[in-house]
Amino acid sequence: VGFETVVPAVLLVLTGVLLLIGAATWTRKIAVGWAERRRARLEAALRPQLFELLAEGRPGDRPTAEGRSSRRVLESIMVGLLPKLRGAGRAQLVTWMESDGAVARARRRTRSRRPVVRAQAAQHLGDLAVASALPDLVALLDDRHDDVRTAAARGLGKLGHADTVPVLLARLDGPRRLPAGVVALALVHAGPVGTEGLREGLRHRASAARLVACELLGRFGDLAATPTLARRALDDASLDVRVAAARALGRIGSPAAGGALVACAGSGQPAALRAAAAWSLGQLGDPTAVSPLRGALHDRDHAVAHAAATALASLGPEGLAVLFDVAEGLGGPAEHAREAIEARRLDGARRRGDRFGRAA
Amino acid sequence: MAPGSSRLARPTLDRGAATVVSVLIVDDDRDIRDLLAFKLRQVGFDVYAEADGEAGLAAAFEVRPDVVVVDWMMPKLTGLEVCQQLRAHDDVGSVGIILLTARAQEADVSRGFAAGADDYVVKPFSPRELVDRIHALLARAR
Repeated sequence: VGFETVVPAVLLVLTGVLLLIGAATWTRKIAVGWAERRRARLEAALRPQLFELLAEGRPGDRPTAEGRSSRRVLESIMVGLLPKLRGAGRAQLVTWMESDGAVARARRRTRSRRPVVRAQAAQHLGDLAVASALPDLVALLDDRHDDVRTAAARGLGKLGHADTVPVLLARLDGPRRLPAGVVALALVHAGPVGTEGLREGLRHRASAARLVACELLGRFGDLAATPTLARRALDDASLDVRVAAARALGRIGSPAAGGALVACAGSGQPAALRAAAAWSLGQLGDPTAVSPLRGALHDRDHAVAHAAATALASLGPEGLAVLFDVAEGLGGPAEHAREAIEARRLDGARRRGDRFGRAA
Repeated sequence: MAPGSSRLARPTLDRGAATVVSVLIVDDDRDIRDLLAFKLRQVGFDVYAEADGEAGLAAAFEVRPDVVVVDWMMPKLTGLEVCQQLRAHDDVGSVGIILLTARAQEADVSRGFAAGADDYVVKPFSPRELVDRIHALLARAR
């Protein structure tokens, strides 16, 4: 076979392959465009029906979709609506989706071989927030893919179920652990329903779990957690946990935390803890904190002195008297005192809507 | 105006003759615009809808609705800017404004009221509750 025969044959084959690729691309483009138009047509027909039924809220009615494609489009519209609604409309959507088998399908998809499908299933189950999804989502927390575990944690948070709290806190320790931010956000979604589990979490062996528990109990203002948080602030093995506990005590604002916070603000304690305790003493609003805060105002650490000055400014006339007294002098404490007085004056002016507000 | 449309398909409401309450929805989320439009029409309101702050503000000046339900985070103009600009004009300054937003922090709520909102509804929301809030706002305005 000669050179002059091989070259045209190769060229011919290459041209054929290129033509085939072009035809396949073109066909795919046509097919995708057709599918998108069809989906848009189905959506245009189904959306008004669905929204009208949701608006009317008649329990017996349900949207009708003929054929598999229509049912899939209807389900995707409902899935998109779920995280945007609460109340009767949301409950109606969940009822329709459960009776159409959407929950069962999503639960099956948690066992898909494709990680993206498992993650989507976890998200859908979280949006549906049906208790029956709990075991499937817990199982996904052991998934080998980070994204799937994260989606499962978020889904568990959206269930708003107390049982999810210990499960999520446990994922801050051991193999296949989750980032603290993911767990904390999921627990924020779960809401105050999980405060009992969070109080238990203050005794968790992992410091990351104790830290998250402290932060969230403070955020939820859980009064019952005050004694345990006070102990964590005083003697936890982790400084981060002690600081978080001290701040949580300030957010909760129980007078019962005063003694522990005064001890944490003492000179023998780490600076980060002293600063957090000083801030929290200001949040408690107890005038008996004026004396220790006056000492903290002269702390060598800038953050501690600043927090003490801010706290004194929120303790009423007694605290302000100390600040005015110290502000007369020189050096760091006087500077912090003047800053706190000025901040207080501006805050007062802002609240009164008077930009030229008088001195506090 | 059809829900989701960015143009006004209805003539300006004649407020002298109007007995029907008109509500303008300004939200870039099509689902929320459509669902609210259906819900509010079902209650008996005249409903207008826009998908961004700039178009919403223009519609407010043209339609002069009784109540504006406005999202915070939107293209072109934010809901806060819409609130401030509405309040700055005498002819629409007394309109009832409800902020409908996912921003749920205490500081956000304060900013919303400071910008001129009469009420604040956090997403995810209940359409039924929003209707009740519109009724309450209208009753207070009477």
